[in-house]
Amino acid sequence: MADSEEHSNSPSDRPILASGVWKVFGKRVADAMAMARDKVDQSEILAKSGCVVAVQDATFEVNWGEIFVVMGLSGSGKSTLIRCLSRLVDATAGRIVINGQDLGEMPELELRELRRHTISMVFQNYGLFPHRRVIDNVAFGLEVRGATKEDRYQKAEEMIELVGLDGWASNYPEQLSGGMKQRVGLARALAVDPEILLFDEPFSALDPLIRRDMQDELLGLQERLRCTMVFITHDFSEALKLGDRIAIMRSGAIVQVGTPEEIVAHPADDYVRDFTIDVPRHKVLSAGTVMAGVSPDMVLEGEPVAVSARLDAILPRLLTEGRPVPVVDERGERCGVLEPAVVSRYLWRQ
Amino acid sequence: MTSLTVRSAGWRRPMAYLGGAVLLLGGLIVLLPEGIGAFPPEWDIGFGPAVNEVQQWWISNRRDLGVYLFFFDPLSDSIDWLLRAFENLLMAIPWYVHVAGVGVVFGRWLGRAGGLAAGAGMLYFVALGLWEQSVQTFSLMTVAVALAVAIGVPVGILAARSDWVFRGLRPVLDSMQTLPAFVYLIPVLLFFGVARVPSLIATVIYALPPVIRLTNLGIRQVPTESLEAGLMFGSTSGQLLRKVQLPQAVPSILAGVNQTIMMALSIVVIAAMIGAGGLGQEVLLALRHQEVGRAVEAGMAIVLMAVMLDRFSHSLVGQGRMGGAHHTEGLRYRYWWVAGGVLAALAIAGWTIGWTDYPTALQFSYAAPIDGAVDWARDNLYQLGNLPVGTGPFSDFLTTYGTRPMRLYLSEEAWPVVVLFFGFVAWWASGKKLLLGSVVGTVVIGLLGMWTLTMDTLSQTVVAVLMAIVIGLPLGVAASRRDWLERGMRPVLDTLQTIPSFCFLVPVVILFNVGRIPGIIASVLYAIPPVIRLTNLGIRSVDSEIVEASESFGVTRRQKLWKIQLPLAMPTVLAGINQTVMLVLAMVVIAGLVGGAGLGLEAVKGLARSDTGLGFEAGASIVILAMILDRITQGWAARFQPPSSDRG
Amino acid sequence: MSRRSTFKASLLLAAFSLVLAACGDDLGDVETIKLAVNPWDGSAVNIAVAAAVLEGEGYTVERVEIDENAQWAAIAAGDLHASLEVWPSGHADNVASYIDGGGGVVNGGELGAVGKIGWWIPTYVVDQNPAAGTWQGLQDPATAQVYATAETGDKGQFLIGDPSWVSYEQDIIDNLGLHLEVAYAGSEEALLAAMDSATSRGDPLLFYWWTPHSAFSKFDLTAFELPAYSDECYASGAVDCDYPDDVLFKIMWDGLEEGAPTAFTILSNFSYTNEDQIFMLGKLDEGLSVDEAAAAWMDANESVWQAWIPG
Repeated sequence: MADSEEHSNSPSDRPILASGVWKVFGKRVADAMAMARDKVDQSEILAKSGCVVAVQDATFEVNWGEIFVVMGLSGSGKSTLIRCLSRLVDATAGRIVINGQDLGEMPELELRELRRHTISMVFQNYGLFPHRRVIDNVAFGLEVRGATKEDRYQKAEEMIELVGLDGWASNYPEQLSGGMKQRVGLARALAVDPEILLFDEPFSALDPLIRRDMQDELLGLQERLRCTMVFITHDFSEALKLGDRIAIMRSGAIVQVGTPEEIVAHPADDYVRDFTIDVPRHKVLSAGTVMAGVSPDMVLEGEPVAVSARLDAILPRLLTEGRPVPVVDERGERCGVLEPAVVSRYLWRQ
Repeated sequence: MTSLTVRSAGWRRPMAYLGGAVLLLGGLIVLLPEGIGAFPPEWDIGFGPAVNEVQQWWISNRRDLGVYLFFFDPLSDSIDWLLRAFENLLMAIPWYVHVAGVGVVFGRWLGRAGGLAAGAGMLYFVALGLWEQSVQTFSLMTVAVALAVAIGVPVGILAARSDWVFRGLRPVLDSMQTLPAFVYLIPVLLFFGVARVPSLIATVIYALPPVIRLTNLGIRQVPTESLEAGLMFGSTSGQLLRKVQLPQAVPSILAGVNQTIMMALSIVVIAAMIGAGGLGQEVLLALRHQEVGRAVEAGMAIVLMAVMLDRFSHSLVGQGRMGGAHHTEGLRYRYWWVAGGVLAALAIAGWTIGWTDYPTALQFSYAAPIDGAVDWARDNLYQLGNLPVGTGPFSDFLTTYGTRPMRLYLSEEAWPVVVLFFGFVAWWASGKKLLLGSVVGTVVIGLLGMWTLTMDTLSQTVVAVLMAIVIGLPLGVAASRRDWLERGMRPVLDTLQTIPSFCFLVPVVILFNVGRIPGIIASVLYAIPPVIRLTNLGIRSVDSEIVEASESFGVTRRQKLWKIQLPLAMPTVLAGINQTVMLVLAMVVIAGLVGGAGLGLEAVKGLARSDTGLGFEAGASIVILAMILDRITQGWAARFQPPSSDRG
Repeated sequence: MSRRSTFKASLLLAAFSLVLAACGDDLGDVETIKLAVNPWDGSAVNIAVAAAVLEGEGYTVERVEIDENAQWAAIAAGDLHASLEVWPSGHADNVASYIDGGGGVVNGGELGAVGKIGWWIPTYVVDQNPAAGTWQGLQDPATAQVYATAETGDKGQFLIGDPSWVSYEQDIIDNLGLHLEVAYAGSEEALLAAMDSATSRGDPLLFYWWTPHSAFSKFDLTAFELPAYSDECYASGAVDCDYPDDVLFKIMWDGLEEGAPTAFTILSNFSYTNEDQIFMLGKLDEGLSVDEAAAAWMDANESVWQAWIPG
């Protein structure tokens, strides 16, 4: 849904392709991997081999211009996974392809170039340089790749304005609030015009209200910039709100990948289902997911709704009218019907 | 079970172990055949004579060696040149410009009161007729600290980048800090000629470790995310170091520089023994003529210099952190331009009218009352009438019932028992590794031929540490309850730690007789501040919620102290005791100068007779003893740490 | 005060070359003479006098405080040029390796003053108990007990100071069968403090000391009676007699004669008597600085030091 014009999403041309990625911390790597394959419990692996299997056999791809959320509880390996994607951590096994280039085999110099021009990252605790002013933080990426002072300050000023920090350029990070610090982190990441942005739980250290603002702002930015983003979070509602697609991790393994709606509607297992319990479903599910099939000769009254319409927009009508509502596809042809009984089963998960 | 182990980890189990140890040792003493006493002297491996042979060869071949012509001599000459140039520059500027200049700098950073106090401090050097000596000491120390930084920061960076280098460096740094400077004074003389260069080098050797340690620490403490951010923008490792790691390590490095300055100042007097001159020389000269007052005047000048440099470097740390965010650039610089201009004008005025010396009429001295006080103490405190009360009887008491029996027991008892006892305590405090380390260490001491002397020193150390605890702990508790006491004690403790111990060598000998006791008293004076400070700190930093909880159960003050505050403060208190042990061992050598015997006297002999081998044997024994005692007290402190919950 | 000259002379490197140019060639290549000041007053006044004379001839003099043992290596290397008061009894090894062994040091002749090491006690001790002042007396444990301390138990304490001092104490005590135990005060300062403390209360104290020394003006001391010195007693290897007289001598760097011939001659000629040195030590006790004391002696004895200066 977010294909940009200049890229196709054929397998060879995806911004990020990960297949069979493992990360094992410790010395007896092979033993640990074998045990993990046999579904041995993490703590037992640690006890027997002294190894921690942080990521096991992760396979997924990220499409151009989408926000790909990796969601999991703490210790599920999501931070390690995102570090494998930038090779801050070397994967133990598997292949990661960025823009068609194999990350694992990339020589030091090329890796540096990739980081200077293609990938950027925003960190959980901001990762700001306390000894540099806001503007020098934002200009850092440009500075290390050799931009002139004039160029980089100009670009940095633009970015500072973009994230709404005008007037704070010559302050030091410790003089800013948490939300403002993360704006600096964001501006710093954006300043190098990256194609791929990695977010490592960027908003988890913020107050709920500020977190919501930042999420909205990120979505707004994405409207304009259309980068590819990988976003790590432990907050399922944040994942639903931001993600075009979500990967759910548990004990280092990816349990399910899908759109928010797919996950809420069809959780792969109980672990995933647990997350979805408190989700306000009417905000996630769309007519297309909950509609029942319809025979062409069935007579239906009332204004039809689109397949993509969210339930929260249709519910009042469904409840007041109390009768089935027709659903039409993009071409205006009837493709299904919303039965109050079926809808309520989805909403209350019976 | 769990609740039981939590408590007994700190208190009960050690008691059981101790009981076991006593039984074990008792059994050993009974079982061991008669006639095993001190470590057999014939097992001496002759390390000292070997060192002396190397030294002798070095002396006789010195003039033909290329390293001299092309390395040591030019190095020595350039350091000497630097030192003289700096000293001459400082001396050329009239004294009142220094006073005003220091006042201006401190005034800017610490406010008007700070500026005035600093100016007054500078006036002290001039008014007591210690100006030249102070300038000399200051120059030597500045150059030494500059050298230490020039060496220490790169080495610290290396250590931070490689765990391998770091692990290799640690014992070296530990040794540099515990090896008595006396031991390497002579070799340094051999390499660097005489006078100020070798004393400067000795100062650098002694004062270098903190810079290395804290540079390493500062770089290692840079938050991972900060590093990752640096890497993620494609920094080269050089860029990462320059732009990310070093700038963030600056506060830590400056803290290291601060410690280095303090350490450099603490061996000013020892450095004077090989020609450093300056305030240290003044102290030594005063002592030679038994002028305690004059020695104290010079000693206080060293304290004052330490305090001022401490404040100065602390505010440097502050400046490093804050950058210039608060002042607009123009204003910041204008202050310095104006101040600099006025000072330059003052200097030129002074040169033109030739008024650069401090008027002798305004000189000042408080030596006489101090000398009077020493005489008074000699005549009145040594013994009160015919009562067995006074410093003299106290000294005799401590000798008869403390040091002498313990020394005789330790040095005459079968040596394997002592080795095993050490091993046992080490195992109890920390574990198998330390057990092995301490057994090997104590045997090496024996092989160096230093067994009896080490036992002598050990018995003195034990007595001194116990005295420090017995006096310091209650004082710390008292200070934790009364803010005024804490405030009042602070300058006294600071002074005790910075004033050269040499200043009170004469009074302690006069009051406590030549022998082991004056050294012990001097050690206690020098080493007591950490116990007091950290007891106070430990009690004060007990979580107020816990104290309130205990009060809600209606505890008495005594119960609160014994059941809540002291147990919780124990790790901190033990950290203080650890520091005290180290400081006492650092004083061992000085104690050798007042009849302390043991390893201290041996190290003094090494210096006095140019017997470097002997000095190294004694020094190595001190280092081994210090390391064992350090690890044991640290391990002990760790046992009192409440069990921490697993990290999530 | 002693630093004044150092400072003035070394103001700028350029000034050095000017001095060199101005002073002509008879001084030699070495225009700065570095003299060793050992940690006792006698050494300090000797050097003060020598410095004044050498400076009068146009040399720059630098004084370096250094231990008497450490100075040998420094002089051998040319880092120092001369030391003017060496006590032969303490330096047999150094003489053997540095002078006789051709180790870079030459004997600069006698200082003229003669020192004497010995055992000393405060005079009041013999006044009260004459036996405590003789070696025969201390063969009796009861008499030796006078000097006992908590540290030495039932034996008497014999106090020696700096461990670098030449010492035959243990030999003498063993061979004469004295009930004494040697204790180190560790330094001259500590020994002086012990004397101060003991004499203030009239306590007995037996210790190692030497003359000439300014302490004699402060304390009333009496020599302890040991068997008289004889060459045989020392040659036998089992010393059981008093110390010999120490004929003090000077040592110099072997390159000094060539590098600074005038200075070499002056220092070689440098010589005066015990009385001269004691005169200056007395001035020190009056509160004069070393240089002032030296100047006072030079004013009164111009003919003596003028005779040291060549042609």
